[in-house]
Amino acid sequence: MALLVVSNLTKNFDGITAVSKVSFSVAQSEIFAIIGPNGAGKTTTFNLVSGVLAPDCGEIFFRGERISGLKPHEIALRGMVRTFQTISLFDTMTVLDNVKVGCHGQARTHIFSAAFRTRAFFEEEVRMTRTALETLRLLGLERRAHEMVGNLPFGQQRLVDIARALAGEPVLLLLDEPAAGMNARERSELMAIIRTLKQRGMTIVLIEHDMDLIMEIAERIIVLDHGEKIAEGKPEEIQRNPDVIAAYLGEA
Amino acid sequence: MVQGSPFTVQKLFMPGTGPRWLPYGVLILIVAAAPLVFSGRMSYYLSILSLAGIYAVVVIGLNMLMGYAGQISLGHAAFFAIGAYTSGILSTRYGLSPILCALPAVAAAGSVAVLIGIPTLKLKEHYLAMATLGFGIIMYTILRADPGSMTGGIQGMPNIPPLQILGHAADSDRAQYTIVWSTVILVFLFSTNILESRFGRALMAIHKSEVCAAVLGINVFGHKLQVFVLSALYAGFAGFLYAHCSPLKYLNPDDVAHVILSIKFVTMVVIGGMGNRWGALCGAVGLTVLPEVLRLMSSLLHGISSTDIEMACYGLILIMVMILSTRTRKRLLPIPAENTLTQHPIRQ
Ligand SMILES: Nc1ncnc2c1ncn2[C@@H]1O[C@H](COP(=O)(O)OP(=O)(O)O)[C@@H](O)[C@H]1O
Ligand SMILES: [Mg+2]
Repeated sequence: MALLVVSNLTKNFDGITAVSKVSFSVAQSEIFAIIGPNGAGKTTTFNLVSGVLAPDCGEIFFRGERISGLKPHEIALRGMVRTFQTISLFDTMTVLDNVKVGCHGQARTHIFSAAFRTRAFFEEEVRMTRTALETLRLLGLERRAHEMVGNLPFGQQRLVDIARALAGEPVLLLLDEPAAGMNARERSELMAIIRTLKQRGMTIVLIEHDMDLIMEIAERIIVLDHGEKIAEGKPEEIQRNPDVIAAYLGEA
Repeated sequence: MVQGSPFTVQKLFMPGTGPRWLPYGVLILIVAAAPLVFSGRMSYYLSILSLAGIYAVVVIGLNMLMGYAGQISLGHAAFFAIGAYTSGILSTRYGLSPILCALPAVAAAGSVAVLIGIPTLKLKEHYLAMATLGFGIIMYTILRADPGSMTGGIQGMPNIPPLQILGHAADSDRAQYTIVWSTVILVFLFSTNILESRFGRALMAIHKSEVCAAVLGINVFGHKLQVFVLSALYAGFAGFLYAHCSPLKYLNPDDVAHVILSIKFVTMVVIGGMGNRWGALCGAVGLTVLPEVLRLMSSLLHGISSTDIEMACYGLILIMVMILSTRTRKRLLPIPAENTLTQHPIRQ
């Protein structure tokens, strides 16, 4: 049984069809990529899958459960967390606090435990801090934990963004152009991180513009163009596919 | 390394470690010193400070809603009025002991907040401002019209009994001051504890980006409703204090439910620097004391009414705050923004 099944997904924005009858499925522990020219509908697909937008048509199943129609936080709490194409960190907070926001869904204590500083509150706060620091360590950022997030260079901010998503301990991680704005060294670090996550059993769907990165890391790829899926397959199949080459040449 | 995580009595109210208790110590000292300074014939000033403390309770709650969660309410005087009138009606018309009125007063404000919050919190920014403003005006009108002959309408509601503590009526300026400001300190510490938790972080996340907060698993509407109701509970409690702990012993729609009062509360939050707890406290005291200062100076002003000047001052303050905050992103009061600091039980 596939982890994520998307069938016949369609979304129109007054007049234009951003996503048109797109179907695909992602298996457990797979690294799955969505590529395509600018405006192809990749981000919109993420918005639909994560519940940020409601589809006009089509269904989404996650871990065997129909999730289309659920609110974004309900989907996140079921184990699917995403990042955004443009970094959206909480710039009034430290790196650690940003990542602790990602732990929110795992926590159980309520306002009253916080108000009275109960034992359960402290235990949970320690647990969240530990999870956040471990996540930061995985991404090589633990030394910057107590800095304001705005003071970090752009590439590291992207990593904090990913760390915040990982702190929710997702089963499925959706990354929207995670390598955008990163230099070559940061990119190779990112690839190593994605591989580590896969080894730990996480499933990753990523949108990416960097073809070299995609071809090296993705196990399966779908290609969108003008909202439609024009190809699906392994990296080497996609590279040879004449429709894909035509779509990318059309853009250039 | 886990540092001092087990529960201790000290941590019940003191969330900070290290030197962060210092501002609380200073606050307690100032609060304790005021009755010594304003004694004898000067004790009138204590009643003004009591009023400042009562407003501070509202402002501490409103700061959670506005400064932390980024939601504006222009109708918080209505919750203040609900608390005050619930308490006033129960104690005068039904003879309930004032201290027992606290719970119904707070509960009434909270229940109305749930009813108002569910439809209005789905609205964004200025729509929310308009909706809460409308609610405030409706509340004011109801209290004036007095449909069930309960509130006394524009004549107001006189002879509200003072709080009874250990068999003594807390009737003097000093007693009222002590009750009010002990409560303010407790409420302040309480709020600090609430905000320095995942709840506070979630509110700040919602302030920055609702979509981003939602995809991280935060129930945006649920949190907005919680903080709205929480701030209304604070306002309701402050209303209860106003009914029984101010020298007037008198409620009137113009004093407790007027739109101007709602705007005053918002100004107090804004002047303190949104999201700054100490600033909110200073804003409440500063703006309550301001009219008194103006009144003292009114003999120098030959014929200009001090309330006109007061209103002009609010306008001026708001304009200054807006200009300063957009141009330099600095706060008017030189107090560090505290919402950037939350406690981390683990130190490296
Ligand atoms: N919220 C929106 N409102 C209107 N049009 C949108 C919206 N989001 C995306 N679009 C349009 O949908 C199409 C696909 O956009 P998008 O999914 O962002 O593309 P990609 O991420 O593949 O570059 C584009 O033509 C874009 O202008
Ligand atoms: Mg995109």
